[in-house]
Amino acid sequence: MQGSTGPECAKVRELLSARVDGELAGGEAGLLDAHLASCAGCRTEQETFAAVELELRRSLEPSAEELAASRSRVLSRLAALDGAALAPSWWDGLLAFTWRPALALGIAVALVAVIGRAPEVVEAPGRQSAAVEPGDGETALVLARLPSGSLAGGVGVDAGPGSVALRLDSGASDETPILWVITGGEQ
Amino acid sequence: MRDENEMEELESVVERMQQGDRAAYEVLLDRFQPSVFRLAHRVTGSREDAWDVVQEVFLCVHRRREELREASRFGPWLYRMAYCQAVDVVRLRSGKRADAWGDGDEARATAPEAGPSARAETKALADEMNRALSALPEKFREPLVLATHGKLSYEEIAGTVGCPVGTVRSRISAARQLLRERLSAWLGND
Repeated sequence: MQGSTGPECAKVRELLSARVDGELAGGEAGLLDAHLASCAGCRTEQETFAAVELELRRSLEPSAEELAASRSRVLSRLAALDGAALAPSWWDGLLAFTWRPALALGIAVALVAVIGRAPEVVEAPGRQSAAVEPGDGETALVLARLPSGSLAGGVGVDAGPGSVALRLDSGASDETPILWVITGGEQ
Repeated sequence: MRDENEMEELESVVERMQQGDRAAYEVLLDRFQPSVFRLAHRVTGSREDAWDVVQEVFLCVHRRREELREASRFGPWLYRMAYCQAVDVVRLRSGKRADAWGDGDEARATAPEAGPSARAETKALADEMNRALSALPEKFREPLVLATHGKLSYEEIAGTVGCPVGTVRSRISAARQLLRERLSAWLGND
């Protein structure tokens, strides 16, 4: 190895490295070039350095076919993941097919007929409780608008003085059915 | 110096991806897949392993998208994940074999003259580069790979690995010096 051992030469090696990465600070380029002009050892070092860098950055290009295949695999796995995360359980699926239509029609008609009362519709902007009159019986049909904007319905059951517990299921795939406690007014 | 418009556009795409926009995710996949592959290939020394890393990294991008606080940090965040994933692959492999690179893509050789052709020699040199990289201390290798294959600035690397910019600079320089020493016989300048 040719001589490149002085304290300034050690500093120059760091500058050579920084230059490769475009990280020379103002004025350092001038210092580096001035040193290289006067130090044969560092000029040789620079050549070796360049060869190492070339090898380090040697193109490891993926082919277009590889990229396309990888892209397809990533998106397939992503779709599978999303499907698994969003797929309803068999029970949820059953509920979806049996309860919602019934909720919309059957229960509403039945309750209106039985308790002579139209369903309450309340805004339900989150998990906060919303005031609603549960009716004069032990059950009430309540429709609520969930954050997604969809309507959810459920049968309220007496959950204590002044409140009913209500299971709401929006039917939206990204919303988890929640147990909604609605505080009632004066009963 | 990166183009500001390009950065703003990238941030916008990243933000949309974080909100669950699949088209934005695909834009990022197309844009960064090649560079993640190159980085992973450089660390693992194997195309097959590099593609496995690409798969896992982009699934992680989807799963962990909400963890990214600043869209402008997407690059460092992505490449750090890629680097860590690639290192894990190498560690897993080296646990099975004494030589982590023994089954890589590159032809195996122990000296420059061993190759019967220039092509073989090039492959052997690439293999030696992989070995030299794998032999680097972690604190030197990570900033070097992030700079050369992740194209991260020293400031971004400093923020990613958690040390001052000056330390990043000196470690990258030291890493290159160690590579140079290891490869000097191949490069004919010793």
